[in-house]
Amino acid sequence: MLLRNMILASLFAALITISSQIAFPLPFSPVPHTLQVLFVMLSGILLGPRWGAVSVGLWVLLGIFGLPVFAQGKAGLTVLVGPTGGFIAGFGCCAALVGWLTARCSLTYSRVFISMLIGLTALYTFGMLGFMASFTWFLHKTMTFQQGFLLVVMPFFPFDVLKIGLAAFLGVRVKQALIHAGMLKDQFQ
Amino acid sequence: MLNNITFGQYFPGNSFLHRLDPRTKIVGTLLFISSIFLAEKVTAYVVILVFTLLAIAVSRIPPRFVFRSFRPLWIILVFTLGIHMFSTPGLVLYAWGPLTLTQEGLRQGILMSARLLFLIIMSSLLTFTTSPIVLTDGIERLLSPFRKIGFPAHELAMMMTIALRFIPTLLEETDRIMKAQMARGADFSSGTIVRRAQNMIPLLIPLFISAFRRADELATAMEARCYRGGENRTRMKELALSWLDGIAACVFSLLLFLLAYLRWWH
Repeated sequence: MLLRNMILASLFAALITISSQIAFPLPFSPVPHTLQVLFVMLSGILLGPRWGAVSVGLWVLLGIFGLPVFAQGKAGLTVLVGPTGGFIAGFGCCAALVGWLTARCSLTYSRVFISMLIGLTALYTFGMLGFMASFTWFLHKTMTFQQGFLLVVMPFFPFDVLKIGLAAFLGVRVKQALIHAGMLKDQFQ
Repeated sequence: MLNNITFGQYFPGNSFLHRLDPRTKIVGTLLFISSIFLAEKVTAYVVILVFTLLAIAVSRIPPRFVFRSFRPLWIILVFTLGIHMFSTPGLVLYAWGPLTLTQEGLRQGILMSARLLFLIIMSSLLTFTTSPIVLTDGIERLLSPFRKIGFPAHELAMMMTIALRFIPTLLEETDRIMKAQMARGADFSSGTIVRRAQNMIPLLIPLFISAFRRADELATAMEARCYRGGENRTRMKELALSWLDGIAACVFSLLLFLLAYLRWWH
């Protein structure tokens, strides 16, 4: 079972990579819009906390070693210390949190949505911390909490809520379909 | 939407950089990244610029490929330049409404974006001259000392290889499912947001089910071939260090030493 879970985590890392390539940037903020959030949430709910986090970690590791897996084909440590680096670290925690919460609640749209909302809060916390740390230490600029919030959280929050709404809906449907097909039993413990 | 993604930027060749051991290249890139952070004075940046240009020349990668590699990052570059140019206090060169361009800001903006540019060029040179499979092999060998404390180096490298191997396969699969559902009347490119979200279901459910099925098949295939992790495994292509790697190690340490000298003793 371990081998199968390892392979699944790799395949989900590949899926997150694919979802990162479909990006549409906004001109006023350096953070691009992608379907990453959707796929990270789905890997959390479908693979569970441990393997969900492993799949995100794998994706980050591929990027660190210079393979163009991040949004718009970016790669390397540059991206991790850049303004959006906090989000990349936050995705791992987000997947783990969503996996942990959804494993402990019934499979209804509202509960899964609330779990994902909590995961999104964790993601934003890391994203904000990373954004401010990057400005302080890497770009040598001061960035107040309010400025950061306006640049990093506000332009994305409405879209991200839409995306996790979609993720909750799809997550429940896909998980039901997988259980129905006999592919998801009690192996993610 | 999905067909124009070119993945993996390996550029086959037989240059000095291509023939280096992947371990040397990874460690060298990490050394380069840390030495960049030592640079403060303009002279240090000139040293790094010369080094980067030399590296490009030695790799024999056509410069237009190198330039193409930082096209996706130009927003970050312009943003870095802009935020420094207009928000650093100092001697005002030009004022335009609330924006003031200062001399210090201009200098710092150019240096900071140059730093980013060098980072991007060097890390893309690594992937230009190393195929993904060789790269993960190098990563496994570099991480293998940590196996003693329980770090799953082999498993990690294996998973990275599988992920890389399956990116094109899953892309193709997505494309195929999309076409199959479009033939059945699905519409992925019009309608309201809610409508489009609903249209994603017939795409994503088959995609995830096929990912799970592939994982099952691959796990069975590997177990049938008696896969049991990295223990006592031999390999077809052994990595070996040569005198070329010695030269590269000397060059990288020289750069680090030179930049440290410029920063603290000069």
